[in-house]
Amino acid sequence: MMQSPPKAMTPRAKTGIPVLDERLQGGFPRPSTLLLFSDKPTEKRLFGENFAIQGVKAGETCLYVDFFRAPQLARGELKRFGPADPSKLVLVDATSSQLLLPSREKYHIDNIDSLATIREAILAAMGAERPGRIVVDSMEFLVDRFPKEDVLRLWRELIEAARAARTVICFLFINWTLMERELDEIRAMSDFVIEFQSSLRGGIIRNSMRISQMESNGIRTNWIPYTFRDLVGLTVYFPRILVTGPFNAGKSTVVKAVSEKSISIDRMGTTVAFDYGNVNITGIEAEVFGTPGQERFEFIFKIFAREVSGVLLVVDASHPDELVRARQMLDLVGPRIPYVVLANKSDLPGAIPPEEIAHRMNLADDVPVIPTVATENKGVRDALLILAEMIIGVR
Amino acid sequence: MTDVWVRLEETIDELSRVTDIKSAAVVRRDGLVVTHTLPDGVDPKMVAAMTAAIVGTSEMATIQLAQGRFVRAIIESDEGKLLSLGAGDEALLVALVYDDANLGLVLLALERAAKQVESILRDGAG
Amino acid sequence: MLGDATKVLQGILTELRRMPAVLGATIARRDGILIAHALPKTMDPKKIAAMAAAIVGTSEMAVVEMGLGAFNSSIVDTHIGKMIATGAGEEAILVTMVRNDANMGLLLLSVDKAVQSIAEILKAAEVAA
Repeated sequence: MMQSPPKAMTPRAKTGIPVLDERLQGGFPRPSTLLLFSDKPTEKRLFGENFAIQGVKAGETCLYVDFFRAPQLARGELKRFGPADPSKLVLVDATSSQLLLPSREKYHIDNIDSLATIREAILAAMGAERPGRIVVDSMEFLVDRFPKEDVLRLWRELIEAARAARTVICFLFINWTLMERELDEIRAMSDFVIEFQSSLRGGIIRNSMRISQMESNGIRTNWIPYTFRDLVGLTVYFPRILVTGPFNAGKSTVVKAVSEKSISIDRMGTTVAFDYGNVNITGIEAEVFGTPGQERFEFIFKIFAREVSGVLLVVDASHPDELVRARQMLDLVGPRIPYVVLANKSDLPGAIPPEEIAHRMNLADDVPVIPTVATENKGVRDALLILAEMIIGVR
Repeated sequence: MTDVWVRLEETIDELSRVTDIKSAAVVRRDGLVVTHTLPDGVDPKMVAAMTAAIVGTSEMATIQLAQGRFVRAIIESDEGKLLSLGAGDEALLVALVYDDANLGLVLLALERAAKQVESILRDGAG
Repeated sequence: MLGDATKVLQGILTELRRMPAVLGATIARRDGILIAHALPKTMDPKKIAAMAAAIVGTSEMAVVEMGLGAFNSSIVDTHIGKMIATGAGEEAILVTMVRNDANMGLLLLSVDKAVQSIAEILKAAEVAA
């Protein structure tokens, strides 16, 4: 029957977003069934496309079943994710027949009103191409046209076929009509459910996703904000990482160390307004804002301490008398925001160790305290990655 | 949702066509860019953060001074002016004008645009 | 030495405040620390010093980023009056609060004069210190 994908493939299917792939222990296991789900229009197609192209970039053949776009359009849009061998991207063309045009793709659905025809085309492509990944865009197209039971039967059949071939299959689905009971059934058929949501605040759209593994004690992330970068694909995106702490702890230096580009508004050796930088490392993008440390500038928090994804709390490890002030500044940001403490200037004589700092600040056990030397860019990046993992919900 | 953004973009494009206004931007009060017509070589994210700092601090200073309501902030420099004002609860408007600008007309255009931005955002949120 | 300077600076502010539309004036260090003030009791001079420093510092960065040449002053317009902040030498800022009915021409002349005097005094004090 259907053979497994070629052995040269990695045991797990990467998403291409390093923080996520790490949490997934390399990627989604083979085989897996993914459900990309939302109940309102969102950007979930981006994740499906990103997943397909990541596969192609990794040398896998990927099958993309597109019910909505003409193949030329789909291929054109998929180019946004960066260079990828087009011969490894196999499309199942569902639109040419609707437009009464001949199809230029190897696999095409000639009668969109027949579920049997659709089934044949997809299974034929799966059997012949032995893809490492399959994306079905999107299931509500079928749910809108055919009886629910028939669609669910096909859904199960595709999952079985993918499992037998040890492939990762990814179903996009936006729910308009199904009841909760039916949604539960679909979730139960999936190994991973990835939900999407979009919000609009003050003219800016925020997209986020959440990954849940359906087995008990499985992976569950928080809502992860993401964005799309031309030719790169999906990246995790933190709109605001706040860098704060007492005067002279090294906040501006931390902002500079962690950013690609940064500015600092400072006078006579102290920040009088803010520091700002953008971070772009290993699939994480972030805007970093440094606050002043002096009390007289606390009003700045009212402006910038909003929609804060996480905090890097910088303390001078050689000035433990300021640890109380550090704790106060955290209060200015608000409760329940993930934070990491940077025990900066840890190379100076008199610098106290992280455990001691944690003790003196009365920190909960799960608050990371990282020794850093910001002037030498030591430990700063690690602190940021740890914060990223906390925000995503992988620690 | 993209409709909101398109309408904001149109407002800013229109504003930038006013004589004497070089470029403009809508930014969020917490310092993030919404849309802009700033030239290449100017970092819109930085302008957004700086505008938020200037207006936010000016508003707080206005309260401190019991000077009534904040209306606008004007930064004057050798080669031009930077004007910024509120555009509703969530956003700010900032515009770059030529030095010999007819400030009266420019301020009128800005106020009109600010009201437009405010209502677009209000409609979008509703 | 610095004590004398503060007295002179205070004098400049009191002089400014005598103008009909001037509600108050403050001299702040560019890092936000208060140097001298002539403000009514209802206003907190330390807060104003810090805020003015933040505004001027940010404005100076903004005009550089936008290629607008040298920063001159920042003006906060309110519906009652204005707050004008301008550099007074390398280390200080002069903040003047005026009513909207002020004669701006005269006022700006006085502010310019004050700024120059302040800059000179601070420079002299620094050299002497």
